[in-house]
Amino acid sequence: MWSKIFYFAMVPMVYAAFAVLIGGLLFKLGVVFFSKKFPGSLATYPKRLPRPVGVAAEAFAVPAAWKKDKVFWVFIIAYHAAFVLLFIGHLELIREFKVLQIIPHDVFLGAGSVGIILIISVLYFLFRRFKSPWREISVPEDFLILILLFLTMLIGSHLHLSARYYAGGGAFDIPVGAYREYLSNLVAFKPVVPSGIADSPHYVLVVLHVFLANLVLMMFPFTKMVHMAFAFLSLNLRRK
Amino acid sequence: MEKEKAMELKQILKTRLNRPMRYYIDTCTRCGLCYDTCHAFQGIPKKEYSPVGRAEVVRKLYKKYTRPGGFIFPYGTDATKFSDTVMDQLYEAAWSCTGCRRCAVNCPFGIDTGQMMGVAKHLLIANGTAPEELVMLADAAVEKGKSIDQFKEGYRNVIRDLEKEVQRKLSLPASDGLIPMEKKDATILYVGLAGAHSIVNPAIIFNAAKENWTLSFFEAVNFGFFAGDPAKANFIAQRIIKEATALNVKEVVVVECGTAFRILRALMGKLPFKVTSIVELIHRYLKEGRIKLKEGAVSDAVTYHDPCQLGRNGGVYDEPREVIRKIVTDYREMSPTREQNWCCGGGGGLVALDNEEFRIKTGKPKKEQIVATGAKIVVTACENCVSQLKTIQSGYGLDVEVKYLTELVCENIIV
Repeated sequence: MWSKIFYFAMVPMVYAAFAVLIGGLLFKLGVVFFSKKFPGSLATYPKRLPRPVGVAAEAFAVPAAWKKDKVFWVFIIAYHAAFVLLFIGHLELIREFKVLQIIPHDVFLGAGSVGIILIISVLYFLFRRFKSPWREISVPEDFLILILLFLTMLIGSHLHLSARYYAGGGAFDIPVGAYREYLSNLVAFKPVVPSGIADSPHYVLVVLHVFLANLVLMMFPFTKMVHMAFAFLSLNLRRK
Repeated sequence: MEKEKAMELKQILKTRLNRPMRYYIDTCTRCGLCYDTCHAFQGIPKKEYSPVGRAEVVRKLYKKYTRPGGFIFPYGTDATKFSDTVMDQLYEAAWSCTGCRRCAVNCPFGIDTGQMMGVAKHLLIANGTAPEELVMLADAAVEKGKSIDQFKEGYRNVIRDLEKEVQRKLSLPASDGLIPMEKKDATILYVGLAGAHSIVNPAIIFNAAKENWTLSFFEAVNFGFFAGDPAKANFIAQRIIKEATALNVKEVVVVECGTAFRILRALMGKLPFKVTSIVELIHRYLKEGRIKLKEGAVSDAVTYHDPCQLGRNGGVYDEPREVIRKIVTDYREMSPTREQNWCCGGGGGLVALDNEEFRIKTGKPKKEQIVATGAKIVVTACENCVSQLKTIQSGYGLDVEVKYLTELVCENIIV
């Protein structure tokens, strides 16, 4: 029975998660674009930069946080930059991209630091909410998402570090080739869980990592994580 | 709360779900960067007066009624149903917000809590718990718009008296036509307020500049907007738009009233005429040499308070400063200033309510800013701000004089 549950998390649920993620995002954006526009302008002044540059600067450099709370800003930037590297790293787990090897590296970029930065940042975001006034303005969703991200990243980081640094003399290693076989077949809609993963003592952790990641992906369009897409639209309004 | 009432409120909530509101509901991460950016919170530090604390009351209703998550698992987002308690929370949120949008400037996503409080005010009207004073003032303005012909003669008589004041100030032989009304094809339609100062001082400036202008029959102030009633707000604004269109004017100049200026300039969409603040016009006259001021005539220390709707939300920062610097020798800037300037606490219709104690407390950051400048005169360009600054002055016993920019200009205009 466990093998069926594991397979469900590793294959059908992954497809379901991406379907919900893509469908959900398209639905949310569709609803937004078909909803009533604001007839006037919601701009604030001064507008120091041209609109697209200003929106990009505010979205990527987060000056609002820099002005107010520099420690928070450092973690915001570290988390989001690491998240981009995490995305690239997972792309490289599907297949090799020559363009990404401009800087020659083993998968993942950052030699394990990306996961650690993400974990520390998520813990900072989480513990920050234990303190007033953030405790008063937090809702359960805020904690739930951070806990989910923490667990997903902790397991993912453990899998990566144990493989990269041969923890247990290599007994826990799942080679990059096995992940590539699994993920490239998923992408090609010929799903298979290769023996390199299924026979590893780490299989249960891989399943847990994929299961939690599936939950994150499914929650993405329907929780505050959607700020990844809406932040640009919302900031654009302030400069229109 | 009765089921029918809750249904009615739910319907309003849905009709207000426009594009910006969708962003504001879903994007907020409750990062808390806005938490202490509100003057009300600075004066009375409690969550309910923080921008995120206010917005969450509206957001939780939207989560409940328009988001599947709020329906399936309401605990996740604290999604809340309509109830008398929630309506009380909405009242506290909406009527402590001046719509200054300082929080929007400090939000990493640009979330406009003022817009969300517009929804809260609309719900309170439907619930019958909106402030009566504002609802009555909005109704009176709508009534005047519907039957303007009945008001015209009485208004003309008042204006004739004001023309004599303008005549005296300009030392002219006759007062006729100094405040023209219903003048077709005038360059400018000036929209004032009910107070004489809002007509006499601009009339002096228009006549000194030899402007081809005409006075509106309507007041610029929009009590429908303050009350949060979108239909009345639109009707009140349309009265002026129709008048300007019928008179075929090129430009509508708005009195020193931040909200009236922003409504016409930014919130009514594209209009067939230009909308200018009287502050911008004075600055233009100075640049063009159409009026002259007594340079350096005021030696007392002077500071300028940026009305939020004129500065942060209208981009009019430099014009008033340049005008003041012409007249005064000791100009002192407040800190923080411009887009980060603290709201005085009187906007959004709050100054019209019986809440003086609240406004004195929430005017604390403004009081501290004024004291820090050491200025003896505080100049501003908004009716609400002047009223509120005078409340702060008397409430804290400040040794300062509060003046309109037009007042300062008229005291120092060379005629």
